[in-house]
Amino acid sequence: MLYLIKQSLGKTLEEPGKDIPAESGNLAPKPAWLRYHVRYYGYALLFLAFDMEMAYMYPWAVVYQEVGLLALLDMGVFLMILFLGLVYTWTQLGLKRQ
Amino acid sequence: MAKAASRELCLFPVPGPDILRIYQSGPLNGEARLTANPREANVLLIIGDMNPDMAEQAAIVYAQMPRPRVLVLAGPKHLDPLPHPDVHVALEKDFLQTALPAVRECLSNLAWIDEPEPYQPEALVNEIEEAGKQQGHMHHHHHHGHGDHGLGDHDHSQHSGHGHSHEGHDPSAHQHGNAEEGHNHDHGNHDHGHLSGHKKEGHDHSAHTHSAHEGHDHSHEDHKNHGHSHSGEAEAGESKGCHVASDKPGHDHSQDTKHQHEGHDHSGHDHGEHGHEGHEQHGEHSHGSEGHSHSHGQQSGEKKDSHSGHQKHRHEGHDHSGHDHGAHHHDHGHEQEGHEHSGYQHGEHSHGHEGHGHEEHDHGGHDHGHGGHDHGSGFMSMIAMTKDLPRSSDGLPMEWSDVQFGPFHPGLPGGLRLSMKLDGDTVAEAVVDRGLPGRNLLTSVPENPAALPEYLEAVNPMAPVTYRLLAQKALLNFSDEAGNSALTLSEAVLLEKERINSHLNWLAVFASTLGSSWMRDQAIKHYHLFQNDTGNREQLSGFIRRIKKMLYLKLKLSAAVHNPGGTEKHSQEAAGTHKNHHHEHNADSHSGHCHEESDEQKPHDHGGHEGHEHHHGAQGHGEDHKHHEEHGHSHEGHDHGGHQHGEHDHHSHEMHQHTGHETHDHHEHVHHDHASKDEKNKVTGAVPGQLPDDITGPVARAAGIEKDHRLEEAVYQQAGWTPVTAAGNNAWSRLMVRLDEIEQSLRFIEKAGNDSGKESSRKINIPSVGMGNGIAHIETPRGIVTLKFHIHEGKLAHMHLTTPSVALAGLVKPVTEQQELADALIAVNSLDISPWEINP
Repeated sequence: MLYLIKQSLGKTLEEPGKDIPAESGNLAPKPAWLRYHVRYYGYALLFLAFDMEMAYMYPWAVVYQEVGLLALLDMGVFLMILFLGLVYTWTQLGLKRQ
Repeated sequence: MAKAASRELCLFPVPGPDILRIYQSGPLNGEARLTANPREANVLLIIGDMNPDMAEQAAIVYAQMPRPRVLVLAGPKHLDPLPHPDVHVALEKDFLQTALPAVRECLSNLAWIDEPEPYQPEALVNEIEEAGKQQGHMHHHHHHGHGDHGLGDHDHSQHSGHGHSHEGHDPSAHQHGNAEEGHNHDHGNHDHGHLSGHKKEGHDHSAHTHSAHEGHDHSHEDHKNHGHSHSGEAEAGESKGCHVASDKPGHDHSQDTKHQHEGHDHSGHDHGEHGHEGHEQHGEHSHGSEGHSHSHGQQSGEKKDSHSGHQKHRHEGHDHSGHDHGAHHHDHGHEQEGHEHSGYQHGEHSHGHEGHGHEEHDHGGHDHGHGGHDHGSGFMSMIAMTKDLPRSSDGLPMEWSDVQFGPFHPGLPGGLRLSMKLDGDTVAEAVVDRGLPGRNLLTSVPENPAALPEYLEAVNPMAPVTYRLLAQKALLNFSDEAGNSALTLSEAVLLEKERINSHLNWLAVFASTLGSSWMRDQAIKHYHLFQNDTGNREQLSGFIRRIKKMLYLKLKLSAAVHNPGGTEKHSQEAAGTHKNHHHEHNADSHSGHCHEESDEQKPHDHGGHEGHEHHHGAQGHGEDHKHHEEHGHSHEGHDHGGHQHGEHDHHSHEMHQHTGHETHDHHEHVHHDHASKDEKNKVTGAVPGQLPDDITGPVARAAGIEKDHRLEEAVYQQAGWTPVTAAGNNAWSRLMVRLDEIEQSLRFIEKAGNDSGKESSRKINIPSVGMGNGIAHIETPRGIVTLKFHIHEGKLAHMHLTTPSVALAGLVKPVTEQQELADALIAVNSLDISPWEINP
């Protein structure tokens, strides 16, 4: 809809520089897509792991009040295992940017 | 609608908001707002005159602003190549109040025009074309393993292993645009989708067995004559990753041994055999069939479409440097916008490309490593493929990108341009571009010496009063037989007021870079208050105290410092290792600078030895900085975060007392880069090694060096004034020094009492037949500025200005190296470089 509105307002004027990323007064015709360093792969994996952890915590949260302490302990063990993984990554400098 | 839109004014000030603040009495309160990005602005505000280079930059900014847009010029009536301004006002205090109503009217009236004229400045068009050619040129150097590829025949016979089996690949028919290079893969819009998913557009690779060409989107968009001349030259120079809109010369897939895949992201692009296994769609690579004219330039689909499988051979940025299409293992997934073959293994890029020069190899994911790419050998090791790629600090071959920060970057002083090479998010190298905002005034020195103060005032709009005082001092020095050019109390008060304003203005920019909007707004508020002489000292002190209590900021800007020197005085043992070091390393605390300030000129070359005439003359100074300077090199406690002072093979860091420097040759300012990268300080803004002697001002004082010309001024001595120093050599200590100097200046002004800082009333008599030299130094907010001139027959014959910013600009590289980008920008900001003081 917005596109149609925009189209109805008139033709776009073709001008140089319009479609080039703004770089503080310089032209930047090169795309900025570069290869990421492999450490970001590690971050992504870590995120995925903890994202899954979080996903498992949702249903747990639903039944937690009902189940009580046992649920807490179970989840605690689960979190502890994952936390150990985090600590391992930390010690192996997996979280280091440089 | 236009009227409604005109209520929201978004200004983009050029050169920068810090310049705009000088001409404003107060912050913009709802009338308009400043934007950091020209794409969000509808008003381009040009403040003051500028040289043609900067005007071109401003034109680029204007071209990138969306319509409706208004151009406001404050000062000059017209600036080429900008268009004629929509609103013109005189450059005076609060000019914005005059301009804004006119701007609103402009926006509401001119927002919708039936036939607007496109803005197409010639310089911009040429620059874009040039950039496009360069992109294409990068591609041009895809010499398939051949140093000088691009000659004649693309002898595919040499592409042995070149599963490209271009039999039938008749180079002559392989009209890649420019047929002069053999294999001209004119991958204009050529999608070398040599794989499933490869949309082929006329990419006739007959028998072009593009194996596993996944994602080989050789999107050779606009690749007219995409000459994959994988030349041996590191054409790219800079890592041209993905070429956009490249007019690339013919993709010369000829026998290039030197396959320079600048930017050739054949990640996973296994050009090894070019077998295109898996290159399902790469059915008939009727490569070589007549009509295989890879002139995919604009022939996106209208071509010989036997490029089944040639997907998006978008070689934008298809720098097949090293891309030996000989053995095009166009692996699947070889998609590249900008030719990013992420994950491509040009390892098997057995293009037989020897000497695969991958300089500046922007292989986003493209591991070409075509070194030793042997046509026919069929194997290319990763090491060979990546041997010419720039290496990150951890040894991985990664693409580096060239980025410009400034001259209109909101996080930097207005007019300062940094050219950075970025290794991902780490700064590999940064240099300051010089002379951009310079008004080149020094080339038009007035003849009348009496006009000098006014003239110098215009040189640096950030410190006009200081420069005027400097000129007056120099003239007094020249004209007064007694040589009494010392500052009066009134002048000192003026100087201190300007110092406060300058530091607050700097703090506003610094806070912007830090990302603290609170700090920025407060700094701006206090700046305007003190600019109007209505500032409240207690409030400002409270603000400063709050900043000092920001622990997280302190942690961010300084780090646990490895300080082997600690507070110990470096022993004299190092003296023996000093090269040409004749310092007397007294451990006595010096009582201050001994600026060999005499009438004989022992010039302090503070800052800016480049391009400045170092009149070291009289004392037998050589050219290489025989600085007879006060070495307050008190580096004890000098936090060279991470520095191994033990390794300082030069100056011992002790308090020097150089009274009368006879032949000191020291200075080869050997900035020992103690760092190995690991040892390199990770402190934000820390300068590795020792500071050069030409560094003065808060940066030097933050490193514990008591260099301050105010120590030479009687009016300060009488007030018992001492310079503020810090023990760190990082961004935090520079911030602290400036904040402390603000408070110190406030105390000084308060102590001066009723002397509110009036203009000097001293008369300066310049005899009409006078001849001689004048010299003066003054402590500006950034450091010591020295003015020297020669008057001949009552006329100004020659003038020379030595400014601290030139030396500070030299620190940009060491403080930014291997820093994360944001930290690097903070570090540069902490130096407080004034681009107005840097002239080419």
